[in-house]
Amino acid sequence: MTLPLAISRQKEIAQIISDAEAELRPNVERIRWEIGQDWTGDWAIFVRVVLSNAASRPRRLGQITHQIRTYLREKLRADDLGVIPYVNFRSQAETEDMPEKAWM
Amino acid sequence: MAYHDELLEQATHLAGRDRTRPKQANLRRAVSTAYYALFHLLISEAVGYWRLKRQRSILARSFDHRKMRGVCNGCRSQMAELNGVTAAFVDLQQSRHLADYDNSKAWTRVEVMSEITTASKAFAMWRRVKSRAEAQDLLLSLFASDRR
Repeated sequence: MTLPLAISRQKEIAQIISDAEAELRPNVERIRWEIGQDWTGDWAIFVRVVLSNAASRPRRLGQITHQIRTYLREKLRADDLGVIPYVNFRSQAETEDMPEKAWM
Repeated sequence: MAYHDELLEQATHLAGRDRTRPKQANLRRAVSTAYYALFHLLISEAVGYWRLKRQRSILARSFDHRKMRGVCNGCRSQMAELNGVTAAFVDLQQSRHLADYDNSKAWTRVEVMSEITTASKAFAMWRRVKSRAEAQDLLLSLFASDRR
């Protein structure tokens, strides 16, 4: 099995994510990520973005998630790391209501 | 209203049901439906180029999820909108797979609404680029065995 470059670049990825968290405040509370394989077996980076409750309101959600997705894709340059980026979102309230390790 | 537009509308309807405590069944169906909205949009656009209308539904059945995903995943266009459409397809297919087959995963409304937004933005981006040669070539490659 050929491993993607992302595996050996995890420190770099962690720094990019940390910078993104700071850059995207106050809309973003935190970002979690992991490298794994998607349903087809392709290597992927799964990014989980916890939004502030204000940013999660229906009227703002569409624009904000689109902006964050685009921003993270540009910063991560996942192509160069040999992974497919998948970005998912939950609100702060949802992560409190439904605590899951992957999102905390 | 075209079928793919109806699907997108249905996904939004399902995600918005159960105001206080959304049911997982509705959220899962919403994710799956959002993916199928984009899937059918692209198929509809592709078969629309086939002149004999009565044969279009037969041609439509030849599209394969995995093949389409592979083409979309390999798309590197100069047009940001076309890349946006293909990235959305790959994204939504992964989510659809989880929604349909992984019962261990719980969905939230925000998670689902963001998936629907992805589909809806892909619709808008597609409409901006659909008349361009590169977009038309992409449609062909979605079902042709080889592009050249």
